[in-house]
Amino acid sequence: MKIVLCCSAGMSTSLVVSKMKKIAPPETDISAMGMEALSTDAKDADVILIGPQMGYNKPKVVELFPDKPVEIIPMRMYGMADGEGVYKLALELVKK
Amino acid sequence: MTFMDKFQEVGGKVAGQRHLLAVRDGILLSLPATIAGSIFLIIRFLPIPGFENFMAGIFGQSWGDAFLYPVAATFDLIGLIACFGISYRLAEGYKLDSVTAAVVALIGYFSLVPSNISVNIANMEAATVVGGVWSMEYTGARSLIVVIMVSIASVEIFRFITKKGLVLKLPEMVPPNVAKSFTAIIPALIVLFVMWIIRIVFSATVYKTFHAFINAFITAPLTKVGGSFAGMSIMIFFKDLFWTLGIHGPNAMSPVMVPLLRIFTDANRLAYEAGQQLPYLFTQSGIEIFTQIGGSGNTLAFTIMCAFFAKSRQLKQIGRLALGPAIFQINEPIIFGVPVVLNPIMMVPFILSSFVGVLFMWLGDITGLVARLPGIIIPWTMPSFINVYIAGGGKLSPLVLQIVVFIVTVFIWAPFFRILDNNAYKQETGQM
Repeated sequence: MKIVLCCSAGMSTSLVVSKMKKIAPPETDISAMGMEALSTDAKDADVILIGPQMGYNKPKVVELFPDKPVEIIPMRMYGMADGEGVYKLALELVKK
Repeated sequence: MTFMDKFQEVGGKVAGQRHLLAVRDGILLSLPATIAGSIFLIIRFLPIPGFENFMAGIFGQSWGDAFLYPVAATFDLIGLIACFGISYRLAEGYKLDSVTAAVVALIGYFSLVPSNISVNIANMEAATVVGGVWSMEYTGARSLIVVIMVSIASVEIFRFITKKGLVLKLPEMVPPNVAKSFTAIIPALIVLFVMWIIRIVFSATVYKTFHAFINAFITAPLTKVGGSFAGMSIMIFFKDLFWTLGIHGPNAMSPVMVPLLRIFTDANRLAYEAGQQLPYLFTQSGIEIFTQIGGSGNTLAFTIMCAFFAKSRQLKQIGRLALGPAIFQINEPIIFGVPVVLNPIMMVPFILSSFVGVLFMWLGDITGLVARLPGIIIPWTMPSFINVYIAGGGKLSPLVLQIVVFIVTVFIWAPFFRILDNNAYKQETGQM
């Protein structure tokens, strides 16, 4: 499974990513990238999660990938770098 | 909260607006270059006694000039890189051929640049005109406003022409790269024509160049207001306000703040190289150093309080989590974890602590107690106290100021931290 997190410079989100990698199965591909890289590097993503401070970009991302689940990471979850919570959220979205 | 929702929506749109985004990303393209160039600037003016003589002894008297070459190659190209970057990003956003659009913007920009300079040589009455040269003032930070205008205009013209289909279409068997360069001919022609007319019109006026006109009417007043205590305080207020609404503040304000701060920084850099008085107080690194200790809102004090002095499990957890990133000036865990967003108890000290940074910068400057920063650009993630020492070229007064600001923020954050901690503790122990 490929999970893509989208944020502004990749720095704040990378904290969440490393936490997620700790609990996710090793074959899971989890990465963080900025908006510009999405159109090329997220083509094969199974789910795209957006950092709350980039929430206004959701319509743009949905437009880019209309058949992929796209959601904004809840603020508290993101701030607390709750990797487990974000991973579970990703799983739920992929299942739908 | 509907007013807040509306503000968030507007703020979000502002932060995501494609032109502002392109301006921000375009100028930021030169950041790695200027950080690297700054290293040479730092070494050139290393404040170790005897260093200058040591270097002169090994490399000769003009050793310093050699160290300034990479500085020129980076700082003096801020405008040029921005021209390419802004047009590239804007075209990319429009799904146009971004590299071609960037080239068109570059030629459009240079259509406005005079290819000679006027020099006053001693013992000669009239100024000598030297042909075949483009002055660095047109490729540097000073021309950023014109660069922004021309880059955006070029891409818009490019887009308009392409949309209308007024392009030279070659038969299908022609390889795509060749076809692409042909389709760019008509937009390039139009851009050249427009810039050419502007150039001719302005050369007939007292300003002589479009640059001089913009400098007088836009850049000068903008730098005056933006470089003033009031102007800068307002911009930083909005930067922090955006964060309190959950929007990346520095990103949202950067189309306005970054060009100005680049202009200020570069002017200081040039004065520093020439050993002259530094013209501006507020530089790119200066703002980061004094208003972003631990992250926007000078949250380092709060973060330390949470990590080491919190009674409540919640704040202790956040503090421990946020401490590492805070050392590197990243505070999203605080902003979204406490949170600061839409939380009045945090919003007040957040904005206040930031303001204290600007205030003390200004006070230190008008009293003449604190030296201005010489325009060295450091990575914004460099830890506090180290960052100010390096960016200050080894001067101690800015370091002292940063320590003072930090101590003041401790006093600002303390009462709000107490309230938050007590509330959280009461909630956890079921007393609420």
